[in-house]
Amino acid sequence: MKTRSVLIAILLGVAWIGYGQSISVKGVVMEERKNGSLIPMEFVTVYWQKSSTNTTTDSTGYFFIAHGPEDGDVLIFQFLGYTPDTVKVEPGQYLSVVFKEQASQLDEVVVGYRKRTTEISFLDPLQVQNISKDELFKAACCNLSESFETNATVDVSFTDAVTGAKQIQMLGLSGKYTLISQEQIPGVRGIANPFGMVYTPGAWIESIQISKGAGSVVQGYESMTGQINVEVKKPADEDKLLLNGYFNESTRAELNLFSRAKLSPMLSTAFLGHYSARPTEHDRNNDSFMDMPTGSLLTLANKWDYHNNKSGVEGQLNVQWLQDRKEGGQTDHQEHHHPLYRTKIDADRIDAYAKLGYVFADKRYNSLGSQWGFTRHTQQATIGNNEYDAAQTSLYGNWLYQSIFGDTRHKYVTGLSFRYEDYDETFRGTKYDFEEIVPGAFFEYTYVPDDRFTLVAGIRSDHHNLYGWLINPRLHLRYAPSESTVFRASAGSGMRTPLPFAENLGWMASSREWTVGKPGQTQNNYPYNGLEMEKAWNMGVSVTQEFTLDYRSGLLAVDFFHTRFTDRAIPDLDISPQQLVVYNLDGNAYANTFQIEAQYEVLKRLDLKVAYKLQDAQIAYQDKGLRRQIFTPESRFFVNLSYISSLALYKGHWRINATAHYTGQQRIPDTYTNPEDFQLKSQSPGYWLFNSQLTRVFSKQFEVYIGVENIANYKQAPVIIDAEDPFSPYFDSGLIWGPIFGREWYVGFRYMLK
Amino acid sequence: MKSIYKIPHTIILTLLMLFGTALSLSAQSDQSKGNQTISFKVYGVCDDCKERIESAAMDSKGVKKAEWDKQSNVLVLVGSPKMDKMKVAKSVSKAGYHSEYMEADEKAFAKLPGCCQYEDGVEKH
Repeated sequence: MKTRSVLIAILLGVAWIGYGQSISVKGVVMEERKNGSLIPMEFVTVYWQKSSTNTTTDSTGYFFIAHGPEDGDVLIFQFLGYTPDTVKVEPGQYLSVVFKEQASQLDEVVVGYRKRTTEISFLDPLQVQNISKDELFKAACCNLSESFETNATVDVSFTDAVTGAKQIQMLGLSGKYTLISQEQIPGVRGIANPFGMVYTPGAWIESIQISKGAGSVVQGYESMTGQINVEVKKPADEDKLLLNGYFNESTRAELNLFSRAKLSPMLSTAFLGHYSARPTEHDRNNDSFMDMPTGSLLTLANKWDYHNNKSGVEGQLNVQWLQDRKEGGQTDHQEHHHPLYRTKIDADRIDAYAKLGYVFADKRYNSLGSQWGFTRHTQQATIGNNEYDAAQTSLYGNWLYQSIFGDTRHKYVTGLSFRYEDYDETFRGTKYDFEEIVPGAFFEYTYVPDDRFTLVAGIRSDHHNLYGWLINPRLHLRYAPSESTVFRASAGSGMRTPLPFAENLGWMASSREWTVGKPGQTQNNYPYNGLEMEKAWNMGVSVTQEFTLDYRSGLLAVDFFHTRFTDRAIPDLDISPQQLVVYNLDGNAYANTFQIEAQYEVLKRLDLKVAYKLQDAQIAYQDKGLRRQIFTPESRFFVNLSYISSLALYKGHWRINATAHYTGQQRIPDTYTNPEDFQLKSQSPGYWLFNSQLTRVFSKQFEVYIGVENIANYKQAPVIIDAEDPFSPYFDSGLIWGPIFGREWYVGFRYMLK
Repeated sequence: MKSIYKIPHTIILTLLMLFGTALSLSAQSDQSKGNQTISFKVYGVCDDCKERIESAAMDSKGVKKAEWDKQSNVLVLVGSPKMDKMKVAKSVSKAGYHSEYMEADEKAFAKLPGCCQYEDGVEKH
């Protein structure tokens, strides 16, 4: 009989939670036959060298063994006819043990861990924070802009008191500098900027990925402060049906539907619907203006998914249609002599995008991908005396090829892109029309020598029909000295075309005279009277530390980011309270943010999340020198506690969560030239907001929730300058730094069918 | 008003720093000396069972971490010296699951969804 040598090879996946806090080891034992086939081995004895605690593999070669502190970290595998061998075990590992005749490589391994509802990926070279469905459930309402309630990175605020537009901020800068994508296709942009965040219903969202700092070159040149990617529920989703209803104190009612069907093993489809309405007018602060607009939003979407594992072809198609109607301003029952100040904003949108990809069957690292997008968006806005109409047509194409140099340590993605935009805007009777035609090419190289280090270097070059050649390099580094510590650094540039009217729409709700660019000067053909493209460099560093303490896991993350503009279109509200001037930056503009975040399961099933953020954003305003950017809180703090009761009994369980959120002082534009009654302080006070929610889970299918936002009923006062006389030169409802409506109760339900 | 808000801020930041440092230090030094590890068999068939078995085990006094393996039916527990395997088995029984030490509570078992009726011939899935 031939002597057999035994070779045991192990490939480690990523052990998530380190420091010996894992309580079991599992894996599979196989024998590799001469012909290369792997056969599971039954009755292999598996025992800890130190304690002799043992188990045997089952008929599938599988074993599972408890791992206590007394067991040590050496496992012995013993089988008659083979030389026993010892394996040093890392915590949390899934072992693949192969008995074979010749030395060679081993195969893949998966490791399980308890998922946190918000987690920071350890492998990704970009600092990506994933917000899962569970986390989104904590903020029950209503759309993408409200999904960041328990997230410290993204700040959300209203921009004015009459249109209900939402603005996000990331790294101390407006959301327009963040690339917002849906399933990696650039989404909320262009004239959709003020309301686009509202167009993705919360109940449709599967998860959100937030990455800070310079993004990947693959998605274009527009990202400066980061990327927010939204994954919508998919045709291949676990749930067959989801029905969600919501109602709140301001009579906002909402109904969401998701349903999917598998038409064949390869083809599936999903239908998504959303209708929301707020029919009644509310004026709680008695300033004669509605606290929020009335109106309705109806949107429907249809998704298709095609997967052919044999041929390697995969494709997706998404079509979304949307109709948004809003009315706000003064309430009907006024006893004024002059006409009412009213706002009316109608938007219609159709959005279609497709992805088609091909994975080479024998080389999984090799793939071809293409992305296609079409959007038509029209909007008519009447805001007091300001008429603003806009229409945008976009075409988008992105073609990618992914492969390796030599082996999988050196990967690259390269490709071509094309973007066409047609803007037609009319503001107070003046037309602003222009087109953008931007073909581009990109190349991104990824070097992964081992689990500890990753380098991603990318560059893209685009040719813009108005602004010429655009070159944007980006670099990301990741270093993980241990399995629970990751250092990251990133740097890169981004650019975007300013859209002064769409982006600053909230400020149309005032008596300000608008000046954009330098009217009359036509030495260049840039749109908006010579506004240049906005350009910025962003760089940042971060460290993330995972830990487990007494078998409960936690996380600590610290980061610092710096964004510096070389070109920027600045909306200046300080020149006078009766003016808004948008001009090209001449001088410095930058934003620094420092953020520290900790998460820990402090007691059984009680999770604590604490975050603190310091922001410093400065702009060299015309003739004023460097000043703080308006409406940018100098600090943010939040603490969130969430508890889930025992899941042991079929009769259901409870979820409860509470959040306290502090917004620091913000600079308010100068109003000192106004009569005394119409002046505001130069800074807003810092304020706290408290939210809480209770969910009763009756079964896997049905749950009901009730919650309250802004428990302490904190409100900004005053909201509107000269609300008595909205057609006076002092009227301004755009200077908003805090909540307007105050405390708000809501109830809702979710019905899910698997 | 300003100063009222300023003070908690500095404190909060300091606390956060301390919290973080303390945790990362203790994470490395924490050997959980007094902990015990026990394991026994609990019979279940699916991932819903896993969720209930582990949650029921966690409900028992002293249990710090519970992991149930579907394929081998082994429940592993780590906990303080207060942890008692009979108490864990009782908690698991009340959730409707039969273990090495105890039959399932009949009423609780009857309430389990169809997918989890492991004693009526439902296979592992």
